[in-house]
Amino acid sequence: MVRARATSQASSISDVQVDQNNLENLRKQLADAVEKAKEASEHSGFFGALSSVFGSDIAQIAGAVAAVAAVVATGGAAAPLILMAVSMAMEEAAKLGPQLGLDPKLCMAIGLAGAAVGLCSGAGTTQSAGTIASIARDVKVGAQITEGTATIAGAGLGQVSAGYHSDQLNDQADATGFQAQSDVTNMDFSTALSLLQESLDTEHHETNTASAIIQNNNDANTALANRI
Amino acid sequence: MTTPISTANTTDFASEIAALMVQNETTQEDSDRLTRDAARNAFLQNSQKQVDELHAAAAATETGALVGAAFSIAGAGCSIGAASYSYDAETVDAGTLASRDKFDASVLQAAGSGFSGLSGQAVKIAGGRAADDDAAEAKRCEALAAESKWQADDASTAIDKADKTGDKIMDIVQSLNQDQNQANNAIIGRI
Repeated sequence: MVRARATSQASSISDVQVDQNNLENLRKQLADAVEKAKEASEHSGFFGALSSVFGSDIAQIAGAVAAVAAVVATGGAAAPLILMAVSMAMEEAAKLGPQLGLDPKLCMAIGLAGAAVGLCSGAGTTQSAGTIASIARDVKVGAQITEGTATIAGAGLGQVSAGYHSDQLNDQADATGFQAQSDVTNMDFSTALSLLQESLDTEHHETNTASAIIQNNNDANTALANRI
Repeated sequence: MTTPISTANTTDFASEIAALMVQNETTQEDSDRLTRDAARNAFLQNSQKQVDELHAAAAATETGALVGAAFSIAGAGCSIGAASYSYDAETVDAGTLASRDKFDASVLQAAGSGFSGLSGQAVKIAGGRAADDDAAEAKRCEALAAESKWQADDASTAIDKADKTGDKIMDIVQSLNQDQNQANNAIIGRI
């Protein structure tokens, strides 16, 4: 019986060792997956921010420039006056922007643009309205192409960001899988330990019982010897 | 099924009761082991399904983003084309050619606006909704896996309890036998 218990214990010990190695491997795989997910998240955030700059900020500014240029280009003889009005509006916007919560850098850019437009309008008084309209058309098409290109760049960068985000989700899914396997291995580890404990307890009982039988035999013999 | 208990002497009676109790605990333990194994397998299956759904959600998210980006790029491309035609109409070409350019510009501008406007919807249709569904299914599987884990834990606790009860019964039987033996030896010594 003791020999049978020893075999059972050896099997349980082997199971415990195997589970321990598995747990160690799973812990490493889990850490790797979490690290990969973190890296993918950082890349996704970086490209997402770039996408926002191109697809939103630059494209919107270019769109606004194109809209203003379109107004000037279609202004005809009133083009110099329109240019002046735009310049004043931009300077006012640059002043009021910070009070309305706009980014100071953006307000500064609007102010500089306003000053530049103002210079053009000043020069425009000495130029013909046709020349100003021609320049405005050039600016308009340039701004429209810039807007489109920025939108394309933003969409491309957004796709790269989405790719990294997808990688992050996949790594998180892998991490979830490793965690589940780790839980199962923990269960198996506990089971193997319980079986080992049970086997040791049973062996203890069996040894005690065998000792009691021998003790009883000895006692009986002693009693018989004393009686004789 | 009932098992008859002999009435030979006190020790035999107690031993038989103990044997029956141990047998009962062993049967209960076997049942708990089966429950635990089933719960373990269910946990593994539900966890695997959860992982599969999370991967599906990731793939759907990427597909949605790809289609959305394609619509945005198509819209921006059309807008650039429209700007080019419009510029030609206003500066380079004249007459019929200018009219044709204006027409092409308006068509491209409309197409560009359409593509850009549909970009958000395309993301949802091509992958966003599927990703949401997959994520919800993953959540459901996660809940099922957690339930299976609780069942496995409960079964393990029951097994440990049965083990301890079995040990106690064995201790009692051993003690009874020892007492009986001592009594027998005392009788032998007295005779």
